[in-house]
Amino acid sequence: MNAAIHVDRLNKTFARKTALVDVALSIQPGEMVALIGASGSGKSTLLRHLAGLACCDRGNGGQVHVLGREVQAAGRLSNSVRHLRADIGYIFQQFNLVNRLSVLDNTLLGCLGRVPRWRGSLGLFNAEEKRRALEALDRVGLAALAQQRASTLSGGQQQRVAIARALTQRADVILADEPIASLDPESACNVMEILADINRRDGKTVVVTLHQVDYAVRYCPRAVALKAGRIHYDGKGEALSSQFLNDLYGADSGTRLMFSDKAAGRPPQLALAQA
Amino acid sequence: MTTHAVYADVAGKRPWGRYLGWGVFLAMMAWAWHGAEMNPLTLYRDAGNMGSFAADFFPPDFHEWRAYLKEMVVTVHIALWGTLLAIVCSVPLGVLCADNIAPWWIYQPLRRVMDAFRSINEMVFAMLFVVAVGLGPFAGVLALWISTTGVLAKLFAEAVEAIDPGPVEGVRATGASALQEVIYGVIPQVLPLWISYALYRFESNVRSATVVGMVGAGGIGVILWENIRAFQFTQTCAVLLVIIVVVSVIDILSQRLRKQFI
Repeated sequence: MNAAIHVDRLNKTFARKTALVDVALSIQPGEMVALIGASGSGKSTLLRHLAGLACCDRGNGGQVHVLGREVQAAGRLSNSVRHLRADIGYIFQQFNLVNRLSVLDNTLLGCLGRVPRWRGSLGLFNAEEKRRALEALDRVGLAALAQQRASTLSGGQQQRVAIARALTQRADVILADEPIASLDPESACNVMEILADINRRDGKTVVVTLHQVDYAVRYCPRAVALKAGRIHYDGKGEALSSQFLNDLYGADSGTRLMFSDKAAGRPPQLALAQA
Repeated sequence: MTTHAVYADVAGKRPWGRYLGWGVFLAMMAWAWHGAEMNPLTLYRDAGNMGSFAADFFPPDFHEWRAYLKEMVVTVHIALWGTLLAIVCSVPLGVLCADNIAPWWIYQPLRRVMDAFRSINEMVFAMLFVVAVGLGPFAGVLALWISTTGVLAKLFAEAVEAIDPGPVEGVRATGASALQEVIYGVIPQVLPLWISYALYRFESNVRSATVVGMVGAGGIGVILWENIRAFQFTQTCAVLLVIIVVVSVIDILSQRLRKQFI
């Protein structure tokens, strides 16, 4: 019962289409887990349920607990879900920054769940919070751009700002929904490096949905595969074989979904200093 | 359906719907012609009368220009306060009237109230407020406040409904409150459009403020109405010229300002 994330009997139906079927999942503190699966397999839907950004079906008594606290149960979000979200960092495929605010202001939004409501609403962040936001930006290599408007940054940079926002939030669990799907390969490596570093160095629990399987193999010790809303595989990331993946994605047996079967053995090339 | 069948379906289609649409439109305009007692012939027949009537307006008589200018400034003051109060009310109302932010049991009743505010012209409100708070500019401010709130809340809400939901969710994910989602997720996205709408309403409120005076609600309209009633057409002409110049100048300045924000 000490799991960082605990999901039980989670079902979700969108207007006649089932997205999740009886999903049960337990993730321990400090794990780095990849959620993989074809488009429409339900991996993003599952992640949204973990942060209480979506609500499950009422009928089946589905439950989501994060850090031992209830996010939702039987189709109802917990009353304290807004407080709980402060402990859950969420990174989106489309970054979801506020374009007209500066990079620093966007990063400071991470404090909203931690500071008194009136102070957050008026935007009165103190020196300590600003220092923390700048440190987070420094860690993702963007402190120099703190004053710029978020909309002027490249996709990879915006995603790193989003990560800085989650770092400022000091969340214990980081959920990343297709964080690299909209990025070029170099930015993608960069972002995955940062996420892996947060997992290793800060011991935070990281769950990341990916559709590039080789990234899952390279960065995530554990992989959970979804197929048609059901958990199809749950085990070591490096154990994912080409044959299994072809089955998972329904691809022809000749299609290679990974660069190399030995991808897991290769150490990451990109150092954080280059970020 | 096969491609062939679709093709036959498309090729064989007669635009009956379009003919019917035009028929309804023409019938409606014919009905309205009678209702409005349209009679273009009088324009031709009474052209002489109208010519001599127009001639009565010239040359404009600017003897009382100080009074005109003073009342014109009051007119702009009425528009300023009427618009400002409307903006202050429209910010929360605009958010609460948006169906992507508020639940239906809030936005539906509020929208109906805003519809009512809009459907009654500011002249009618001005007449009512003259009775309530007495003759003078304050009645005009109240009238403009109400009707402008009806318009601005609707425009603000439409801007809110067109936002990208992503940033709102981004803010929500940090553990922010519902109010903070609006402050950081919604307002930055709609602010340029809101400013532009507010300035545009200020322009049209200066025009509206020139007429609320005709029912006693202060400003240049009072003088205008007195001159027309006394058949002092040369002075009426001078007042109209003052209105045209001031309204045009404000329109141009406000347009320049609006361009800065879009």
